[in-house]
Amino acid sequence: MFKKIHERGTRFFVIACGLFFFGILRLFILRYIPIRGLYLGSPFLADLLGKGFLIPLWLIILSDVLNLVLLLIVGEKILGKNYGFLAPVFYAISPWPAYLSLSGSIYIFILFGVLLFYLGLTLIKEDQNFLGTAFILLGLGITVYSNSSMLFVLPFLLWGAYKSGQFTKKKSKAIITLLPLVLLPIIFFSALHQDSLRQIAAKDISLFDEVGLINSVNAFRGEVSSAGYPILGKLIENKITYLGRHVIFNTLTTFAPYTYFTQQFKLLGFSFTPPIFLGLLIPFLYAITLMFKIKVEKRYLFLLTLPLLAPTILRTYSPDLNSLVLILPTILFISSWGTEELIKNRKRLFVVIVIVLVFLQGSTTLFDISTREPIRYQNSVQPER
Amino acid sequence: MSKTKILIIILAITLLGGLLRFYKNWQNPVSLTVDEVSFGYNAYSVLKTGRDEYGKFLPLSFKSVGDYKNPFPLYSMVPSIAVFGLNEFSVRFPTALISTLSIPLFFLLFKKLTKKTNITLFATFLLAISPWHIYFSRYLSELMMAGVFIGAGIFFFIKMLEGKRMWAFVSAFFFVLSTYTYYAERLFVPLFLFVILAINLKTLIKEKHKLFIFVITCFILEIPLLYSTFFGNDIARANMVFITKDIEFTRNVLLDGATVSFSNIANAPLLFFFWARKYLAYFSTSFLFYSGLPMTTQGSYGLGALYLFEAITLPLGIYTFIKGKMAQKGIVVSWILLGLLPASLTNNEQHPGRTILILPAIILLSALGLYVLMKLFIDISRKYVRYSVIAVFSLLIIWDLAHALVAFSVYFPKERDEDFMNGTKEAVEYMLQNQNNYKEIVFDPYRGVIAPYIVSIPHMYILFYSQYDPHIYQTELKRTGDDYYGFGKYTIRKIYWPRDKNSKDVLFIGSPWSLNESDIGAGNVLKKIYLENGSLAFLIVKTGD
Repeated sequence: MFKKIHERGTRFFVIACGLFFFGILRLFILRYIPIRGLYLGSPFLADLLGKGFLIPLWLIILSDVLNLVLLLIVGEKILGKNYGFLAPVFYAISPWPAYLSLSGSIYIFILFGVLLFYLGLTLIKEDQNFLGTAFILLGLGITVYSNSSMLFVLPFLLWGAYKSGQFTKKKSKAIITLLPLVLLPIIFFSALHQDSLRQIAAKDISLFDEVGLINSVNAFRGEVSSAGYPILGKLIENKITYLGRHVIFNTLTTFAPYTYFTQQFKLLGFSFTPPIFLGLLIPFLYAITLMFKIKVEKRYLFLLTLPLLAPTILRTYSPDLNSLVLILPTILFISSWGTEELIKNRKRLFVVIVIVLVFLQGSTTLFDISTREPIRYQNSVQPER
Repeated sequence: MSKTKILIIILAITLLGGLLRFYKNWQNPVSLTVDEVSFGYNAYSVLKTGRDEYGKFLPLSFKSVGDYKNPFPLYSMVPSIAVFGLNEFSVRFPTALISTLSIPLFFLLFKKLTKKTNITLFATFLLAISPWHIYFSRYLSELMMAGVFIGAGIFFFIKMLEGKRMWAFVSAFFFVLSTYTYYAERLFVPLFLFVILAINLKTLIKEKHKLFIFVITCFILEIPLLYSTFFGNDIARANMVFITKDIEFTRNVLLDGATVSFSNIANAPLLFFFWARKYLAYFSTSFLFYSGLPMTTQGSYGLGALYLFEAITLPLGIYTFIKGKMAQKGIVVSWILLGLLPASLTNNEQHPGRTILILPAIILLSALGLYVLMKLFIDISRKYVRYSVIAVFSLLIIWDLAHALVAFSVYFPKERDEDFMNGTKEAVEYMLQNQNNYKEIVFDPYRGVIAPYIVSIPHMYILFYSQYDPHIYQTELKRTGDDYYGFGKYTIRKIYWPRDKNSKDVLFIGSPWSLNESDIGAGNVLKKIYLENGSLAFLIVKTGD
């Protein structure tokens, strides 16, 4: 049965199940947890101009739906027609985008930009240069105009796309020529409103401002000094070693599977719902193991994804599940490919475990949303006495 | 590399490992823990009378305050107490010794698994300097001992597969011994044996006698423990620490305080996913590289279970391990994956002790990564780039080692001494010197700088440091009640100064929470005992004549 998952009827059934869960999950959240539009934010450009403009909730919810469509198109281009549909299905059943979109997180909108960028890359690879370039520029435009740290990410994103062979020198010429035109306004306004830029950057790149940890470094240094080793104290505990450790810590945390597949870090600061269902960890790990063992073309996904980790790494407290959602497509593509390989390699037991776990966690999550999640939310807003 | 050279290197690494484990281990950790004095005095009691503090003859499970203790750590202490007397060193000696001897043992195991001398030496060296290993080697740690026995069991298991049937006895003996040493192994060993037997079933079916000897030896040696577990009191401990008692689970997941009621069936999936979270949290960067070891206060960058430079070598090692070929890969994988199971099923957040049994496997992967990294460095063609990269990586290692040294010698004694009941020895020693002047001595078991939430067992410290005659203690009448315990002239109970100040010729020992200096009057405070960070731990107070 699993081998025939790509057959039309089965595929339709899986997609229908995914869409049903997509809808019901969002309806449950809307019905029971009062988070609708709670975390609406303003885009970078609006902040820069000092305009109090919030991205409307409808646009974010629309992006959430369009992300599903884009994932289907990109997924089919990356993974092929037979299994590409799994990526949007996995997106549909993931609580992560559901919670973020309904609360109004701007990162769902930025994710839409990232997916447009991916779509552009795949089109360019198919020699649809005009359309590909247009999507790439539109996608990059959306990301950069929405979040300041994406300005830093942009060169690395392009470098990653270039190094991974997504477009050649010849094909990238048009992008390199047109990109400054797209970026010109934001660069112009950034130069014009340098004070605002500094404030926004300090908010988005808060890594260097953490007071608590710096205090503990000072306390540690004091302890070493009072023990009679002041020079050793200075060498071991100083700003450079502290920041180095902090950056490594933030980076490594984004690579840990428990960040995405368990409730280690609470969604929106209160939830016990994991960003992605635990069952999908099995195909994810299987795919990673295969990538280690054999040369897989899909490894370039990592190269493209690494720069997208920057917004969360540059935060004081990592992982920031808000900005980290930008790498959700990569996780979903890898999990989809892992599922494909599990099916192809006849690892039936694992496929059954995945289905059982997803079904179990899906129903538990819906039940939890209708019963405990509202209380958890209330407790987070109004801490228990 | 010649055998003599390897032998010299292993000897040197073992000596270094021994130095790091034994050096002033009677002073650092700063004080004996509740478990250490309890084990120590019971071992002393067994040495003198053959019975534990409750008068039970050579028991297989030792009753302690609140739970039951495993037999091996206690019996292993008897010879060292006989030789060195009842003191800090003799209590910590068996753990440090077994841990030091585990270095050459793991060399042999690593060699069996990798077949490569260089990787084996890297792994042995990393084990010798491992902060995780050193931390649990410097004080009584049954979990460390059990981890070593698991390693020995695996080594002889592989030897059994390759050679004589006598190794089946030895392997089974060590696996079973580990279950007599620490509770986590009672869950781990059966599962692990099931898996590694299944993995090697093809080989073992050809040599059925080995399989038969191994299984029968395990079963016969386990009979007393099985009896004790299912018909004795050991199950009490399992119930006490099981995941369902986790505060995070009951408070934040089940929402115990909520007015909504939920059925137990509906809670089961939540428990499963909560467990999965706990299990995967053992792979967290915070645990592995930042603050996995409880050596500094929470929320700060302390010392991880591994060194920070291993954040590079470990992933590289995992990559190489998956990609490359290694004998008994399945054993290494199941060792790690099943080794985390007992710890993840208990009610603590990331317990480095309960997972130490997987440390050698992790170290092996890290060493594999280190080996590959070294090869990568050497292969860099441009000389200045090569030297620069090696210099940067060396600096990171030096920084890491210096940081660990400072964490062990400076941060740890200052920041965690209260957890090790620092100050109790000083209080007991003062009391023993002056006890003849008083008709009763009252010791308050509640202490703590932030709040009096730490419940100590002062009577064990009194028994330990006074070397109280076990014959007398086993037979004399004890005064017991809901909130007090007493023997001889010693009473352990909560002090209530407004009432107690009227008693005559009584010496009181308690924290500032029960003995407020402003209420007592400076003249009656005989001694103040401070923690390493300068906080007041105890006041010793007399009442008016």
